[in-house]
Amino acid sequence: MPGGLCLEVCPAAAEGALRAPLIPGDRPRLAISPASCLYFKDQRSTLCQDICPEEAIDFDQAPRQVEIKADALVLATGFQPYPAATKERLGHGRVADVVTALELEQGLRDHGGPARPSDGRPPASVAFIQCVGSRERLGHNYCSRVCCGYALRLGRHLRARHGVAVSIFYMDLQSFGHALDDFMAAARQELNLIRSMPYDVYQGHDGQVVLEYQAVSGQPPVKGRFDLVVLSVGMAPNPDNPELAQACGAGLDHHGFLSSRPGVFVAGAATRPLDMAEVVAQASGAAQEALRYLEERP
Amino acid sequence: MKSPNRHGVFLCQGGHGGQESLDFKRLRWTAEAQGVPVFEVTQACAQEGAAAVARLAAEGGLDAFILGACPLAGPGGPLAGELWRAGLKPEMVQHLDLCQKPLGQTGQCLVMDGGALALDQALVVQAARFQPESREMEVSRRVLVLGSGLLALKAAQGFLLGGYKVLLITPGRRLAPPEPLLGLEAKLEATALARELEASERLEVVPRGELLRLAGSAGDFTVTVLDRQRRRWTRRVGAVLVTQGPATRLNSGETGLEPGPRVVSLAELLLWLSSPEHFRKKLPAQGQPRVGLAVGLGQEASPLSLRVACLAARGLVGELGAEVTLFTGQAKMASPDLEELTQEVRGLGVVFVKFDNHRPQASPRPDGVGLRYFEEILGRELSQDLDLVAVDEVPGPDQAWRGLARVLGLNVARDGSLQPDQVNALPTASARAGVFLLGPASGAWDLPAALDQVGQALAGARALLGQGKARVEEGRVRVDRRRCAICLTCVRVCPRQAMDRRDRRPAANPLACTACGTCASECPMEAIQIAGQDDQRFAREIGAAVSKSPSGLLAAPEREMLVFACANSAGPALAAARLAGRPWPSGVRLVRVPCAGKVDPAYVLWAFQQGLDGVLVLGCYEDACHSLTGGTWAAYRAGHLSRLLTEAGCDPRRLISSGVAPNMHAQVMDMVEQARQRVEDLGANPLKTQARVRDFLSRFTVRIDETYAIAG
Repeated sequence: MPGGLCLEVCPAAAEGALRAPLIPGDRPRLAISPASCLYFKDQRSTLCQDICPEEAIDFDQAPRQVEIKADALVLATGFQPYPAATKERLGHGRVADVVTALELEQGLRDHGGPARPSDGRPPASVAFIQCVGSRERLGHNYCSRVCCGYALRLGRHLRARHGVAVSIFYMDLQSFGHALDDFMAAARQELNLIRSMPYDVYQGHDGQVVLEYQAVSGQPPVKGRFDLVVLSVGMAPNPDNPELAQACGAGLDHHGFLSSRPGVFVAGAATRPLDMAEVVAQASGAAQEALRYLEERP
Repeated sequence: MKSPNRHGVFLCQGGHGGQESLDFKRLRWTAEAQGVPVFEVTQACAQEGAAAVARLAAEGGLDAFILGACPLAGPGGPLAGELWRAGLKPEMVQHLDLCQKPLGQTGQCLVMDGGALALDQALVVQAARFQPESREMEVSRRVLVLGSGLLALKAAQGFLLGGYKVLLITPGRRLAPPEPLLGLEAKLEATALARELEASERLEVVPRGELLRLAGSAGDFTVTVLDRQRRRWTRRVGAVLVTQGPATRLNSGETGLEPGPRVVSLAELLLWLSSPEHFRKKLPAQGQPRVGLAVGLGQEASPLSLRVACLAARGLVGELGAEVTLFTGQAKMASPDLEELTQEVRGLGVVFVKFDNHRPQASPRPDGVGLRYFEEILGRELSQDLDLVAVDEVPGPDQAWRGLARVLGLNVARDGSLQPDQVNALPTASARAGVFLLGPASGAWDLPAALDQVGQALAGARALLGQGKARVEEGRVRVDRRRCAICLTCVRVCPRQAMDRRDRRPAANPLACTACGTCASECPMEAIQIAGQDDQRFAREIGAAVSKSPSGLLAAPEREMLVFACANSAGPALAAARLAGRPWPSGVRLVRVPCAGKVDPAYVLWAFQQGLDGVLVLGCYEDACHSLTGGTWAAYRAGHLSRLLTEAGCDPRRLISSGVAPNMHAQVMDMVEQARQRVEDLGANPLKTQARVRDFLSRFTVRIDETYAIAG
């Protein structure tokens, strides 16, 4: 039974060891997540392998080398969301109710509403901190382009659908698109936009998260209290890009993103931070380049 | 075109054998009453069960069949693969969700209540099934490119390399005109490209040409051009690429920075900077020149403006030793290496003054401009005297641009682009199939983003035109010539402008048409029908959705509600919600439509007339509609219908129209549940009793009619 037998027997299915997508037609139908799979932990459970009538699961499978001859190569390896825990100051992993925007969005998708990780209650106030892993002089010295847009949209969604009071801490709002001035006017009206970057995040006594920030220069810092703090993580290059670039002959820029070379074409957000529409455009362009390369080859 | 004639129904008994329930028997009787062969299988969600379905379908020589089972056996289950293996097409199956509680839950598979009605509806859909024949359509392999700059030349190069012909209409006299904002490199590249392309025989350049008319539709446009010699001629083209943008004005907003000798555009400043000797004469002879650069003080700017301002600042400091202040609204950094460029410029001593809630006020000075402003970080008022201020630009009112938009059949958005505010139009599509928008025409002013769009538009146009022949579906949209009054409503409402006029009658261009059905719903003569999705089918499907139990006349039946679900948004969301284990609420029937634009107001009225207690229309959000206008139509019709319902004595709150996204499986069932609750609170539809009496009487009417028919 697809999505059945292995899911039913998996003792760690609730922790996400085995996942099935909810959109019909999404592939793969089922996937094992090594992070929570018991076999990857201590080889305790092979129940899914034993029960699968199709013998589709094989834990003993060894890596093997396969040789494929190809005239051109397309790298579409994407990006990684900036690992928020590396910014200890912002409390991810240290303060329970500090989550990344990705985690918030996953929660919204799976449970239909926002919830505080500490007690599962819906938050009444949420703060977004922008530029987590973007626009840093030492480190990721570029704007990730998408974070302001998603934070503003998530913020408006939280307010409209769940009645949450939303504050957004930012440097410069990087929002783009059609009807932008209307969108920004609505966002300014609905959200509390604060041009300041909190420099400390810690657990308050009352269960809330405290953000310290400077509102006006020369005046004492302000302490903001929120039920939930969301880190708007940026788009970081994959950590293995240097090895990949070397192995495939792709270009590597000083941020760690990839670029195309004759015969090796890089598509999508592996090249630079891009939003959804731009990724579509960029990747179609890369496909066209690859096509032309193949056509022009003798 | 042919309709499948051999149908069948497969009913899954679930994982358990043994005693079959009355509900299951009812399903079988429903199918048998229609004279359709019924097959019973077990575990259609498993490989073995699916294989049995495929084998039986092949042996029975079926053209199409319904599989009534749980969502696990639906799309994404093993059946598609098994059908392939049996040499059949996966499209032949119509999945019907009949299970009360799907997925993973162990225990018995039970038939959902209302299952027999759902099967009745599915049989109606099955009978109306339509398999279009495909045919080859000849399309033009010539492409019209509007523009003369780097984008236009890049696009033209792509098409010429792909073997296409290119008609290039340029606004100016020559190719590769100066585009100061794009920088020297872009200029050099454009010039080299122009030289390379001019040698091509397949490129036809019309300098300072005017596009008078764009008739026809995707793959088969006819353009009428007025050239510089005032000659008027036509060409057939398959696709159109717009690479130019509207004229611009200073983005001064409320600052009072009026264009003049001391207030210029950034582009003008860059031109001046290209010859510093002349530039120096424009500035005061003594002392360090003080220059202000203003970006994004009116409308939100693009990263291109900030990049240009930074490059100008670097030039001003380097060439003239100027003191430069950069005044900016939201500084748009989202462009490759722009963050580093701003840091470099700051390192040169350029001061950035950022405004969030305030704006500077300009006042003219002899030989300069004074700026007073509230510095938000310091929290106090400051003022500065400047010798020169350069301001970024935004699209301005441009009559010629509006004229071009009108010829193309597009609207100018407030940001000057020709693209509808629709995520599904991104990145390069327009509201007219076959017309692609690049750069400023699509709202992308930044060069890297615009250059990426060239590849996307090339891919789109090449997919459309292929090698001069395209495979299209025949007979999907039918226009009844006897009914058509040539009012051209369909031409106006088509979201992709796929309706052509052939032989002075409207006809859908299958290359551009997505069969969303908006035209069929809006046609005042009901002359347009979408094959397989015609009005007759929906009338029968809605009729089948109402319970016909004879006790209904006397007993108080439960509330019945109809959900019209758009196949692009609500369909996948509901399917995913079922896969996630949400039970199907009782008394709720589903009708799938290709787009909310297909929900003819008549369907809603029929539903109420048939005695349904409530109607929920679930379409895409207005700015995320897959056929661009479906959500807008749904919202508009909801307003119109509520007036009609009030007139008919039916509470308009019984009709609910709502937007939903395909990934909202966590919310969509709650929306259905809320609507059901509201209908529950409103009580029975006052038209219900009438409907039931009518239904009861109709049984006799039919007999009388038959008698007459025999007697005649």
